[in-house]
Amino acid sequence: MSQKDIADFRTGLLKAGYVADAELGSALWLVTRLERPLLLEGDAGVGKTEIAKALAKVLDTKLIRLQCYEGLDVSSAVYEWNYQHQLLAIRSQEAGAEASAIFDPKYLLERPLLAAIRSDAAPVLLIDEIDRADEEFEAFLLEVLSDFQVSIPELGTLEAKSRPRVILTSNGTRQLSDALRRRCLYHYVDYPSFDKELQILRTRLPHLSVALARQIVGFVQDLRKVDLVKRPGIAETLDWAAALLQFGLDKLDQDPEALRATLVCLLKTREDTERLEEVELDRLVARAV
Amino acid sequence: MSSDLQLTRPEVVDTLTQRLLQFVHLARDNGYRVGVSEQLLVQQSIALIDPFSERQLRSLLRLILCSEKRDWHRFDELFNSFWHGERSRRQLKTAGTKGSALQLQTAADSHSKRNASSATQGDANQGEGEAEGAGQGYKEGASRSSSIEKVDFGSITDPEEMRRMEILIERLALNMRRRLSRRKQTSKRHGSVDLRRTMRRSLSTGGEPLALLRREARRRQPRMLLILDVSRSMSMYSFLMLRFARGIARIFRDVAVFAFHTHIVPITDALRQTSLARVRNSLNMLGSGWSGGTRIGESLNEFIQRYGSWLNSRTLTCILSDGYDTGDESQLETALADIKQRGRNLLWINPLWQREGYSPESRGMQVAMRFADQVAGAHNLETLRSLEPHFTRLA
Repeated sequence: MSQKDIADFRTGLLKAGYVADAELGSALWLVTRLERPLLLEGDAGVGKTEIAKALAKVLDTKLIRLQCYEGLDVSSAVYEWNYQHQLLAIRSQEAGAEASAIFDPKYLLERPLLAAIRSDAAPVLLIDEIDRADEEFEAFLLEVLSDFQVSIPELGTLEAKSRPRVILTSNGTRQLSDALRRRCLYHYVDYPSFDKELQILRTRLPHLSVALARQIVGFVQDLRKVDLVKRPGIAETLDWAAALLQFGLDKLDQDPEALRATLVCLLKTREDTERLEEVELDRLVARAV
Repeated sequence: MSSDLQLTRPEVVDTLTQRLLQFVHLARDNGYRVGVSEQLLVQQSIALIDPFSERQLRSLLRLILCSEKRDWHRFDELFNSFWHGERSRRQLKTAGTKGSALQLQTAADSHSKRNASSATQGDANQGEGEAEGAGQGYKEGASRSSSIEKVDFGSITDPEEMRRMEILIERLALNMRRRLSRRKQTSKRHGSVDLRRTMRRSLSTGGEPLALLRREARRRQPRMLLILDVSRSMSMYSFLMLRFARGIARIFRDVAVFAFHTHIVPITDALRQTSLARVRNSLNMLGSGWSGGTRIGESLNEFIQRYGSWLNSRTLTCILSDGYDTGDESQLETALADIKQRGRNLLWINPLWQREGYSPESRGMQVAMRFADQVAGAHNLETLRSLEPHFTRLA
């Protein structure tokens, strides 16, 4: 890859609304070439899911998303037979309709994994918050990610028409298995630097004045250093900036009451709200201004 | 990266391949999960990048060789140590081979001969970062003689040995989950009718649901409740027990950990923090009066009053305490009776239990033995490991 390839790729991501640093830009470029799943790990709210969305836009392909949760099983993740239609078909055959196979792909309900495998053009498959799924599902996923094929007993093995670009995200709430980690490329998504966060804010909210944007980012960056239960992510920064715009504030110290009212966008637990009282909101505002 | 190489192109490629191999080995020796497939992937994918661009080489190797946050954060150090001969803040393990002298950066030429060897012999498990990732420590522990299994936690005085033990204990807890939810026998109980599967099966009988398929009760993880005694009499064990609890807290979804001495505090959130330094800070903030006297009964009653909703029919309550109580005995009786009634099972873990010469004469232990479904020891790794059957049976 040349520097130009990377630069072009990053520009593409920027056009798709995602500000990627050089490291992430190179990583994503390599993912598209190496055809291996990419595991993105990082705290909630640092923009992991957005990466997959932006990648789909850059590659001009569809994004298929599988949201993981405890208890996720094959019938929700891969496929399910549409048994109501199958029963109706049986009844209609009994009533004299032309006989046809019951286990036919037309009775198959595709769930995200099967949909990704059967897509003609390689989609971006986002397996979101894999750490929420059970270990059993993780083990099942290993097979899919190794061979990109799904076995359906009644139909046989369906192989991928095109190899999807797979992005897995994890908030690190539980440890993932070594086997899964080793099948993936890995990128750790950290909270953005001041400059990067400022650029994100300016990209997403072009109406925001530079001065206010700098104050917002300075405040949030300082706030992340406070020992909070839930540190504010980029999504929170964007929400807060939008709220400040709604209140018509030009500076953080313009209206303390309004500022305090907007903090609900940044602080999501009672403990954090109380802690900010302790560390003096005014001091953080003064530093940012 | 290096514009003034004196080697011909094929020689450069050969040497680069060799150096990459050495770097992969170095990574593996330093705890990175790198196998043959990663090694092959590195060699195959090197064609995709300009190997003389340091940034690209760094990105590629980081992407392939890292598999968790800990790897990610120390990768630059490893990379710089190998390719630039920079001295590392912490000691790295050396790769088995010493490098020849293809330098990727001209500035580092003067250090060429000590690229690999500058990373001095040492233990990769040193430092905060390493202590967080318990995997390697476990592997090392597994390959050591079984003597470490029998070392009494209370007799460890060497800080390094203690740190190693902490890692082993946390790893032991991390490994428990899979085994706890493992099903060993077919259930004889019949679940409710699974309509979806019954309908699906009925297709083979013309849509008539001849065979009723039943939904097997999903084996749910037990709700774990750990209550740790952090009073003075437990001081030799309490930090190791906290690491054990941290392991449990990281893998079980439904878990709560409390610590008590004269009163009780919830510490689950503190233990769940990813950074060990943050865990210590949080615990320090919570732990005013730690290593002081013990009032087990009052603390447990306080727990029931304030956090009693944690007790339900799935709750396995584990109390880790030596039973030395300066409080009122009747309070302990009331509290244990209540916990026993509201929870599923009560496991009392007394670190001294299986120590030679120990007899449970303290009043607290006498009461505990009356109420607990099981009393177990935990003074060394062997006894801690043997807790697992108790967990499985009681959960």
